[in-house]
Amino acid sequence: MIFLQHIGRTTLVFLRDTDKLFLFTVRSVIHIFTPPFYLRTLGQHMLNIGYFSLPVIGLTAIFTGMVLALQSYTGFSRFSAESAIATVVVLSITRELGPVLAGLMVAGRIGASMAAEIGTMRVTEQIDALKTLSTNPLQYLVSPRILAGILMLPCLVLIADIIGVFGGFIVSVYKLGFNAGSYLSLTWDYLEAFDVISGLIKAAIFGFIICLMGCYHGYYSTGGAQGVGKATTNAVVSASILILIANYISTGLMFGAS
Amino acid sequence: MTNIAIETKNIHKSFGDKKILTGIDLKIKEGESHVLIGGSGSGKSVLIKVITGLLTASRGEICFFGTPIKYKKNKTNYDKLGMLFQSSALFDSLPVWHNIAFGLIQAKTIQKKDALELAIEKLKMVGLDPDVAFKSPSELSGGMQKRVGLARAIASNPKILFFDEPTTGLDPIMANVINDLIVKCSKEVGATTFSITHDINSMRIIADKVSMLYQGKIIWQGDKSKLDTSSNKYLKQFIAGDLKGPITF
Repeated sequence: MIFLQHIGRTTLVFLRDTDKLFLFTVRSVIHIFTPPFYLRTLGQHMLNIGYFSLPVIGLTAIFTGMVLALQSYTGFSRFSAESAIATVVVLSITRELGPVLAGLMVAGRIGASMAAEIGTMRVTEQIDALKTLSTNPLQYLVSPRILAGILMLPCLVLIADIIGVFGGFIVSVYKLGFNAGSYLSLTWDYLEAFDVISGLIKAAIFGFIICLMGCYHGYYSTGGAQGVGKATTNAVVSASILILIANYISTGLMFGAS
Repeated sequence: MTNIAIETKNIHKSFGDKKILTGIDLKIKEGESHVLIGGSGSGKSVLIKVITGLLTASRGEICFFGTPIKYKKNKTNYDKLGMLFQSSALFDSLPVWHNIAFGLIQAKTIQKKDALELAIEKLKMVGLDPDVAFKSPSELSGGMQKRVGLARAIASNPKILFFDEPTTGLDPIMANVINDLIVKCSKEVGATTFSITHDINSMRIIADKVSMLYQGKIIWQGDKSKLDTSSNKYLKQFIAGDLKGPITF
């Protein structure tokens, strides 16, 4: 009986939280398209998400490209397919590793900071203060962040793609002895526009997920400093898991039939 | 005939099975300074949040100047209200002048270039130097933050001002400074005020009328002058701060 009660309670809590997240998402998205538009705030978040994430994204991408070239060489050399390294590096980076790794790194950096910032505003009554000043907190705090995430993640991923391919190029040419011209030619020959575009579409989805989770967990944080800490952890964990799930679903939709 | 500025009719508020407010009826006249006292956990903060629209009542009606208030998601009940929060609730990311003029800038009733001028004027009203306008809230002491919070609350010349534990966390002298400023500023903007506090000294300075909340109900209401002559056992114990009496912890 107690076991059944536990299942019932858990189900109710799950349904209530799902409903809360759904409404939060819908309202936040609607506010992206309805005035007033906080363009200055949007610009600040775009700068924070985009420009200030560049070092971490650049480092992640270059080492990923370098490792990918090394590992591919180890595997492909066993059946004399070294010439495929350039294609494998560029396709892996543009289709999967660029968006997913950039998403996970940004989730750690931006998702956590958004949850902490909005969570602190919640526990110090700043969100209540916004309401008393006739300002909709969802419109002022959440919507610009979500829009900035959707716009900036593709930019970051495009840069990560270039840096990642460059990392593979460096290792292949200077360590593995490939000819620079033929490596670049192999990179371009088998790369299609949709390989890059699909990664950018995924990046926009991940940007939405990261900012939504950061804002949602911060917005509903309770219980002082401990609550803010919990919100920060939940934001990063849930964004990371959702990124991996969304990656599988979007890959299935875009490449499943090909 | 004096208008009723704030009226609550049979307000109930519960969180799950826990009943916090059980039938609150209040009438606050225009221009009056009404103070709600009560111990920790008596429901004071919930009541002020319900009246301002930061929380939705489970049951009952709230009227401002005779008009029932419809709840709007993510907005407070009344555009012409100002509120001073217990924690001051200043926006860390904005300088002091922007904090003060924030509501007016958002409502587009003031240009940004005029906002600084208005902020400095309000800072002077609360006894702060104009230099403070350019500082970040984190650079200010607790008392200064409270004064900036007060300046923000009165910036739009609201018809109703709410004060949530205005002197909590302040030393006795600064608490009296804030109490005097509340009285002075409320008179200057001509606002009706509703305050909640458990600071008896603060209540004696700012109140015209007092209500006492205990276990979600108003158990005493009257003029400040009748506080010390009341025979209400709860009120007597609360004011005296006695450990013995009907209020148990």
